[in-house]
Amino acid sequence: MSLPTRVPSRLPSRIPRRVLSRIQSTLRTLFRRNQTTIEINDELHHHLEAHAADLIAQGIPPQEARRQARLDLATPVANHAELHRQTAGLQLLDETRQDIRYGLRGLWRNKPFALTAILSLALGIGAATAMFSVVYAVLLDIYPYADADRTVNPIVHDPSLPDDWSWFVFTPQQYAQYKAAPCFEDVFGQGGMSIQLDENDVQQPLRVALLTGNAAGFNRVRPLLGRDIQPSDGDFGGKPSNVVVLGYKFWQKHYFGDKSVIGKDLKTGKNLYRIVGVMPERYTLGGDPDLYMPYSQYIFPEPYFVAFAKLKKGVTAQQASTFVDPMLHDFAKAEPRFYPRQFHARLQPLLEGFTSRSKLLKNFPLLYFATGALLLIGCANCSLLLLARGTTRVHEFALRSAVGASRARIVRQLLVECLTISLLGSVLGTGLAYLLARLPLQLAADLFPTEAVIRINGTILAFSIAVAILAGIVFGLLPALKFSRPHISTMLNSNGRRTVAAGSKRPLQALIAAQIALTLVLLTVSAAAISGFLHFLHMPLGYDPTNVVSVGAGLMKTTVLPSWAERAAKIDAIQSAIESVPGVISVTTADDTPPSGGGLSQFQLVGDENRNRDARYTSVASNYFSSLRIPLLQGRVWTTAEQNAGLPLVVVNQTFARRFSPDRSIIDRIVRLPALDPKDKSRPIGVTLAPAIQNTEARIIGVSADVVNDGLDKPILPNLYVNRNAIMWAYVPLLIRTTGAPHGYDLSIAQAVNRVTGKTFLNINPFTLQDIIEHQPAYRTQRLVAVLLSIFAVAALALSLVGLYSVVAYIVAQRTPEFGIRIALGAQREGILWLVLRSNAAVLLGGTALGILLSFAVRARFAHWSEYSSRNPLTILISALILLTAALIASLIPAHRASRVEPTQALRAE
Amino acid sequence: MPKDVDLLQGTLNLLILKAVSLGPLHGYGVLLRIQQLSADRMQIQQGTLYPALYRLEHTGLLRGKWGPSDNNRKARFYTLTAAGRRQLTAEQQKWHALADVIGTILNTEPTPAEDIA
Repeated sequence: MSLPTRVPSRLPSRIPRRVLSRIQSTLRTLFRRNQTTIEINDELHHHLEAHAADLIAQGIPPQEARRQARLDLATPVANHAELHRQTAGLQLLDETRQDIRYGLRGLWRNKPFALTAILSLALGIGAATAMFSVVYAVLLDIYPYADADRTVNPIVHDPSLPDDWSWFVFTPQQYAQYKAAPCFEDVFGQGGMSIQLDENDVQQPLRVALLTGNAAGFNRVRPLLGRDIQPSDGDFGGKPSNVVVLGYKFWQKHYFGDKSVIGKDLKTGKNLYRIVGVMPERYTLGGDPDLYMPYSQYIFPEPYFVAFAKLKKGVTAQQASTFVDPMLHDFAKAEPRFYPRQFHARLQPLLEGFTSRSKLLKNFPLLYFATGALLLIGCANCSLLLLARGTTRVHEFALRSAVGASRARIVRQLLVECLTISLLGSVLGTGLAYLLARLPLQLAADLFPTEAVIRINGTILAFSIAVAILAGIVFGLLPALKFSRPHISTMLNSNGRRTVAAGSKRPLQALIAAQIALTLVLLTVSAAAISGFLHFLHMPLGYDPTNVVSVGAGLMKTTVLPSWAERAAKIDAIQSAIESVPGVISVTTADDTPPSGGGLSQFQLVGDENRNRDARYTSVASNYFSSLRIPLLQGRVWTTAEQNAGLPLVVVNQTFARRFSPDRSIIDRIVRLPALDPKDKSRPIGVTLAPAIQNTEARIIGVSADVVNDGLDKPILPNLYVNRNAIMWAYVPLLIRTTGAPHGYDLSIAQAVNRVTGKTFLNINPFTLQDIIEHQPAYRTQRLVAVLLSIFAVAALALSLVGLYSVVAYIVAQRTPEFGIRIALGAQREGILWLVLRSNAAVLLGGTALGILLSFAVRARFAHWSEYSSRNPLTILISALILLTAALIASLIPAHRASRVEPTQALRAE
Repeated sequence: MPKDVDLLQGTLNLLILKAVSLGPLHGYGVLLRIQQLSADRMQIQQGTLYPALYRLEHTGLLRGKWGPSDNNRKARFYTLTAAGRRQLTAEQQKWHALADVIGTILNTEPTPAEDIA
C-alpha cells in the first residue's frame, strides 16, 4: 500500500504538517465554498445510493429502500455542509455573517432609528475632525517651504508699542553683511515693485516679487509648470534677463490655468517678458504677488531687500537674535529712516509672521471645546438610541436565549449592529469633515496665511472614529450584558408587557441629562459669540463708512521729484477733477483711514514740556471731517487758503483734548511735532516740508468727535489731524464718497483724472471703507467664531432634541398598555400628558441646572478664550429658556400621542 | 453473545483509521468494512460517520480523493496519511494497554476471606 504523504516539501518545515493540513483545509473550505458543498452532496448521494442498492438487494422495494437509507443517515444531507464548515473552523465566520445579515435587516426595518444614530455620529465625527484639522493646518503645517521651521525674518519692536512690530529693508551692502552672519545657513532677498500690464487694451497694475537667485534653492518648492527663478537669471546689478514666473492665482485669473502659457510673452508699457514657469498654489512668497522676477529686473536706482534667513541647525531664533540686534543698530545709524527712533530687534520665525494668528489662536481652545462637546453629544445621542432600543428588546433577547442562543451569541449580534452603525456614521462623518474643513477658509480667507491649505488630518479622523465606535460598542452592549443574565424566566414571565425595571433607565437618564447640559453650554457659548459679533456690527464708529472708496494717486511722474508746490497743485487738481464726476459726493485725502489711523508719533504740548506724549498722526485735507461726517466739537478746521499755504495747523480728537488738557481749553495750544522739524535728516525721500514751516510748532485750532482709530477692539487713541499740505508726500490716498456702491465709478474717476492732469498713476483699491472694517482681524475672527459656534450649537440642539424625542417615544411605547388601563379606568387625557412629561422633568431640569453651572464655569475661562464675546450672564439664562422650551416640545409630541391612546387598542397591544 | 456492541466514546476514530488502513475506502465502504470486521456485531450510526470523516481529513489523518467505485460511479475514497498511520499505531497501543489494564482488573477473582485475616 502506498503512503499518501503529499504535503508539499517546499513549505517551511518548521510548521508541523498537521497544523499545515488544518490551515490548508480551512482555506480550501473558505475559498472554495461552492465546490466543497457540491463535493459533500455528491459524496452523500453516493452513500445513499449504495445503501439503498444494498437494501433493495435484501428485497426491500426501491422507494422504501431510499427512504430507509435517508433515515439511516440520520442527519439530512443539507446539514452536512454546515457540519463540514464547523469542522474546518468556520463556525464563527458563518455565524458572524448571519449576525450581520440579521443586524442589517433590523436596522433597515427601523430606519428612523438607524438614520438618527448614524447622523449623530457623523455630525460629531465630522465637526471634530474638521475643526482639529483646521487647527493643524493653521498651527503646525502652514508653509510649503523647505525648513520653514528654521526660517526667520528680522523685525523691530518699538518699545513704546509692545504689540506692534515691523519688517524693514536692507540696502545691498547691509544685505551682504547680514547674509554673512555665522548663525545663518542661507539667506535670500526679496523686493517688491509694481508694473503696469498692457495687453489687448487691458491695463492693470501687477504686483511683482523680485527674488535673488538663491531663493529657489532656499525654498525648494517645485514649480507647477516650467521652471522657477534661477541664479543664472541675474541678481541685483546683474545683466537683466526678461523672464517672469507666474503666481498661481494670477495664472488662474489671467490665463485661466492655461498650461501652454510657458514660452509666451507678457507685455508691459515698455517691456516684454518671457513666461518661463508657474508656481504652485501654496507658494505665495512676498504676500501672494502676481509675478516673480529675478532681482536683475529691479527698476529703481536704490534696491532694498527683505531678507529671509535660514538658521543653522541647532541655533535658536533667540540665540541668533542676540547676535543680530547689535548689527541692526549699526544699520539704523547709517539708514535711520527704516527704523524707529528706539527699537530692539529680533528674528521672528516665519510661523509668527501672520498677524491674525494670535487672535485666532486665542479662540482655538473655545472651538476645541465646542467640537469636543459636539463629538460627545453625537456619541451620547447614538448611545441613547442604542440603549433605548436595547431596553425594549429585552424580550427578544430573553426569547432567543430561552431557545438556546448563548449570551456570547446575543452580545455578538448586538456588537455587529453597533459596529454597522458606527462604521456607517464614520463614513458619513468623514465626508462631512471634508465639507466643514473648508468653511473657515471660505468665511475668513485672510485670517489664514495664503500658504495654508486645510487638509483632513488622518490621525485626528482615526481618533474621532475610534471614539465613536467605542461609544457605540459600550452603550450598544450595555443592555445586552444586563439582560443576557440568566433571569430569563422573569423577563419572559413579564409577558408582552415589556416593562423595564426602574434601574435600567438610569443610564438613559444620565445620558440625557449630560446631553442637555453640554448642549446648553454650547448654546450659551455661541450666543455669547454672536452677541460679540453683533457688537462689532452695531458699534459706533464715529464716522460714516458707507459708499466710500479709497483710491491712491501718485504725484511723481518719473524718478525726478516734483517740488512741494507742484505736488500741492496736482493733488488739488486731482481732487476737483474727481469731484466733478457725476455721482461723486465728496473727495478728501487722508494718509490712513479708520478704523486704524496713521502711525503713532511723539510730541510735546507747549506748557507741559517735561513729558513726551504719543498720539496718532494723521495727515488730512480740510474737508476730511465733513466728508467722513465726523462732527467738529470745538473750534474750526483750517481753510482752503491755509491748507494751500501749508500752515502748521492741527485738529485733535476728543480723547486727545480730555487726556492732555483736562483743565483748560485745548484750542490755540501749541504742539511740537518732530515730523515738522526742518533739520530732520531721517525723513524718507519724496517727503517734503511746506516752505511755511519754520520749526516743529503747530497750533491746535479745533476738536473733533472721537473716531475708532486703533482697530475695532481697542480703546480710541489720542489723535492729531495735521494739515495735509504741511508735509507733502509723493503718494496721496483719496477717499471718495459716491451715491450708491462705489465700484461702478472706477473708470469714470480714472478718465476724469487723466483729462485734467495727463497720465497719473492711480491705484484703484478695490476696498471700500466698509470692506476695510470687514477685513479687520478682530471682526473676521469674531465672525468666524460666531458662525462656527452657531453651527455647532444648532447641530447640538438638533441632536439633543432628537435624542430626547426618541427616548420619550420609546418610554411611551413601553407604557402604552398602562396608559390604556388608566384611561379605561377614567384617567383624564391631560393627566396622561402630565404623567409622561413629569417622568422627564427631573432629568430635564437636572441637565439644565448642570448646564447652567458648566456655562458659568466656561464663562470664567471666556476672558482668555474669546476676547470679544459677550460676558452678559443673561445670555446663559436666555439659552437655558430656549433649550427648555425646545425640550418641552420634543417631549410633548410623543406625550401627546400617549394621551390619545384608545384604551381598547392599547390593551390589545398587550 | 449480544448481537450489537455499543460504540465506546472516542473509539469511532480508531475504527475508521483501522478500516481505512486496510485499503482505500469510500464513506459507505468504511461503514460496511467496520460492520464486516466486527462480524456484524457493531452498527455505526451513519449520522456520526461523516462528521468523523470530516474531522479526520481536516486534521490531516485521512486524505479524500475522487475515484471510480465498484459500480463505476464517482465516489470519494479515503486513504491513510503518514500522520494517520502513526496515529493509528499510537492509538492501537494505547487501546491495547487500556484493555489490558481493564481486563486485568476485571479478571481479578475475589480472594478468600481467611487469606486477608
